[in-house]
Amino acid sequence: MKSLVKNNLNLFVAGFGCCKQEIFAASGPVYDISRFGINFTSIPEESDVLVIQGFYNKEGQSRLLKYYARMREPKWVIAVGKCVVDCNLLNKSFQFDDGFREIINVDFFVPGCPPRPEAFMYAILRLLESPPDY
Amino acid sequence: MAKELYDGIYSSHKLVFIERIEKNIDYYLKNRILEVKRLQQELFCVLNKSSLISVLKELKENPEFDIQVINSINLFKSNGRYCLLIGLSSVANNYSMLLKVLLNSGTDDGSRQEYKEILPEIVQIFKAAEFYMSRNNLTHSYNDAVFESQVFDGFDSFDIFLSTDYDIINRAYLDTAISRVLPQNFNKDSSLFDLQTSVSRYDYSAGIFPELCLCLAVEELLKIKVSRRVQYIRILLSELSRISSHIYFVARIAKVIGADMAFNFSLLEREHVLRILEEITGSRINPNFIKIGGIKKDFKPETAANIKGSLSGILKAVYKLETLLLDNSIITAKLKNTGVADKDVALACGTTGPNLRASGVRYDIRKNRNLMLYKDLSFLVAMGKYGDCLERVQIRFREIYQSIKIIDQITSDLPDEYIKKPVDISEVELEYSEMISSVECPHGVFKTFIEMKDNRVLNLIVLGPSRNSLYFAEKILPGNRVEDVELIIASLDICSGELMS
Repeated sequence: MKSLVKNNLNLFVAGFGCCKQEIFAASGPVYDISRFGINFTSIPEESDVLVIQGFYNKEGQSRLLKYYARMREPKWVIAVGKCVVDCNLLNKSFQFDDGFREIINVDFFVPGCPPRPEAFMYAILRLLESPPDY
Repeated sequence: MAKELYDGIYSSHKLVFIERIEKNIDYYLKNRILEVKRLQQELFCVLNKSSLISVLKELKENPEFDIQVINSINLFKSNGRYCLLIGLSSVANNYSMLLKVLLNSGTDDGSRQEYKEILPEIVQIFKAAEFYMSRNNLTHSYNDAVFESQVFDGFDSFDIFLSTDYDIINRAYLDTAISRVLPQNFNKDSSLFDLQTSVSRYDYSAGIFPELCLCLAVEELLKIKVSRRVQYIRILLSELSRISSHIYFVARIAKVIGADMAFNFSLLEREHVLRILEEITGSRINPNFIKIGGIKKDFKPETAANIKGSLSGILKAVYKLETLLLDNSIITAKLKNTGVADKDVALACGTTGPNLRASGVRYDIRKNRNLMLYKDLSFLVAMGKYGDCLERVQIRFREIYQSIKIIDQITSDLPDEYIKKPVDISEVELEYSEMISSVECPHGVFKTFIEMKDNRVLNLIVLGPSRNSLYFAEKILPGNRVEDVELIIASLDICSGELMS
């Protein structure tokens, strides 16, 4: 991982759901994720990591692909929460389609419903330590 | 004397009054309504589609009913037949009712067509029903500015379409296409156990309230009486969740304004409250703690004392947070006179909760309907006057203080009773029955309509307050500047989970 990215990793959190509260709780003073040089951004072009969490429908899935396409390389993907890792708790019939899985390769999975902020931070720190090839 | 004074200030929900309304419905709408019954503290009427419009007109124009607010419209399938569920309420007379309208069509497409045909007629009587119509204005070409769903929590489940004159908004439309994630057959013929564990996701900023609402409905159906200790523990958890949700609201407001110190401080305080919740329930966000007929486990003896001990710290911190945010003249100048809504607009949109109270309407079902054991506790309903963003922020702070007061009373005097084990759901035997239940969640009145047979839930319809807040946003955004859009929407405290169905 290039040192510039390693010391300033920007996260883009897509979707809506209960996991988002726990992800943003990591930016608070108790967990203080920014001490590792990790920031949240709302612009896909500026981000290095796409965090997928929460509930999606077809419209949400197509937007996710758009966000991913707008991100510049190197880029990584983290899937947070049961709804993305396994199946949607409230809509078990919904699955990301095959085209989506071909385009987006998830590097880290954070299980839990929702996972605690510590679990999310652990995944980010693992990413910093040993980033998968992109 | 004190009791009369108490009842005089806060009109309690009188069952006698509901009975009178029920008799009036029998009298005025005898030939047009198939069935009318009282479900807990709500009225429930079944009617045919052909008589819907005349019934709605009668309910609106007859002073005996005086219904001015339409809260929700849902299309669903019940017992193999497509139906509309229309939520109506009268704030002046302090009651609400649900109309189950039987549609003629037996197919999915046919029912949707009927729904589309009947909506314009409903809109002529209740204008707020226009939110449920398919709107052609939700396209990029008709609008000057489009805000797609944002990253930040609270703006992530809808798109905002704005028609502007320079930087002043003329019209605003909010589209929730991205948040409609639930399939049509969801919550149909599912086991009560499954539903109990997943229902808290409908309001994930305060997950205890959907659980409470579901359990209250089923307990009413099964005629289960819950002990005072259980009820007090439920109230305590509700108030802790309310504090947590309101502090999170403050964090979002601070983030939008750019007050980073207040944002960090509010997240810190929220952690303190979440840790108390975690100590009791074992979970921070989705507690899965309230069970039918009781709670998952009783308090340890020292827990109540620990909570009481930590209250003073929370109180001081919230006061400090309020000072930090609202003693800043730049921030208050930004919040004041932004997104102003008078009480007529708020009522017409069907808004409930702090957003309605900020506009000067005293409506809180904790007091108005004697919800659980709130009548035994001393607290004030926080009220606003001007209905702007500043008032909506202030009212949340006042509600936090009142919640702390309630928790203090409960922890000082928690009845020492034996708590029975919760009801074994697998053994429940019940005829086909319907029930409505509502609780006052941090965003407004959270209501569920449930149809059950034995231990299977045939239908669960969640009527959350955030959908009304969205329509409210559409009404108050015009006249404001484009730069204030985020602030106004953040001040309405919209929970994305309630928009999923």
